Amino acid sequence: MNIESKLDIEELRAANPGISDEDLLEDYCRNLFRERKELKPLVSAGVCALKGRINEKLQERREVAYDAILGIVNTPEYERLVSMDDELKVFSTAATIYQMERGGQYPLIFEQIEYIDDYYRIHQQMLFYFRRMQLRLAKPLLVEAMTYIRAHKLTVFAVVQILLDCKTGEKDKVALTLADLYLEQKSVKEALFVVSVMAENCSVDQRDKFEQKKAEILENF
Amino acid sequence: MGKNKRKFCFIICVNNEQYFDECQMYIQRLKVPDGYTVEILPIRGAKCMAAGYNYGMTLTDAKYKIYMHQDVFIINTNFLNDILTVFKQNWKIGMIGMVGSPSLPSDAIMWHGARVGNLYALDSQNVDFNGYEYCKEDGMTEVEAVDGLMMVTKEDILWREDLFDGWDFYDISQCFEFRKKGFRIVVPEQKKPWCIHEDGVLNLWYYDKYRQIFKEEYLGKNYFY
Repeated sequence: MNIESKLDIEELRAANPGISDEDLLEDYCRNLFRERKELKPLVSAGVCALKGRINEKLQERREVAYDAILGIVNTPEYERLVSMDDELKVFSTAATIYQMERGGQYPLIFEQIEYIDDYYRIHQQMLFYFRRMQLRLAKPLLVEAMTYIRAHKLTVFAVVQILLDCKTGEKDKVALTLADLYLEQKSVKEALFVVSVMAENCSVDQRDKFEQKKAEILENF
Repeated sequence: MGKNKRKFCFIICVNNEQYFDECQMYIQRLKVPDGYTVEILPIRGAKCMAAGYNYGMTLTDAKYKIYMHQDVFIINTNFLNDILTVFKQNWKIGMIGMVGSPSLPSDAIMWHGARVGNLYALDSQNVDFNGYEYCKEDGMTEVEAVDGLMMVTKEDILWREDLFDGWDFYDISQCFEFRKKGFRIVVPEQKKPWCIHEDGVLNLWYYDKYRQIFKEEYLGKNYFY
């Protein structure tokens, strides 16, 4: 299998006629890495400051502070830095989850974490479980997901939002397995929520299997 | 240390236990060829990748060493048999990778040129490995360098920790060390991706420093015949 180059040499050649490919590439690299080097202190300071502000709000342990986190996540500063840090990248999902959970009688995602990196660990662990489901690993390895969800008091809103946002393939297959795991725990509402949300977010050709699952749950439980 | 020809050792530099746990879980699922044993060697607190790998090399007698990142998850359960199949095709094959450059671009940046291999991607619709087995008819590509996400060796050559005391270019350097000694490096054709590489944002802050060291040490020199 061939993996294409991430650099368009033709474009470089067209912009710099008469220069050898070797010199073109070298100049391109030197400029790229010089820019990165110059940016490093700014990026590090920016990321650190943002995380500091979020961590401070998380530790206040009250909803008004949690609401303020939503403000931080929506700043242009956050948007600029989000692609440069893994923890910031996934934390936007935590903000979405909080918006769904607040006002309800559920444990809030922000109550389960003290620092932004606590959320990152949760997000990655759920991603690992979803991959296990996609790959149809042995049942005990899948059931661990439910133990983890319970131990970290993750609501079904959190679980589904992470599934929607994370980098795993065959989300339809994952969602159906997840619904079955909830059913085995007698968590019928959660199973229904998973299939309903996925039915709304999947492609038209996949909708039938979620509708079928929904009907099956309603009939049997 | 005498080599155990029927042993595999996974050598992994670890700084994140969560990733290592998952990585280890996938290794434990692998089918082990009859008569072979498997060892997992986490190296914690390595000062650089090359140093960690050199240290790991001294701790095991396994002939087959799999140097890999903690964020690589092997999903091909027949992986160990498959790498034996590749090595058996030619005794000169010293190293196998999952992704590699048939011809390293002149700037030494692998992704600036064409690469071969395969990795799990979001559109991987067919990751069911039941019945999957690599066979020599699937083919392989000889490469100049492979990505350090995974490097499988059957020969022991020291990693150049004297030059590459960071986290970049230790991999391409090691490929060139193997080739200097006359070994071939290949990437097998993977009809299904053998691994997931769960890498995050690459910071590459020191990448250019090591790129310059690499170019100085290896490029333009008549090492290969």
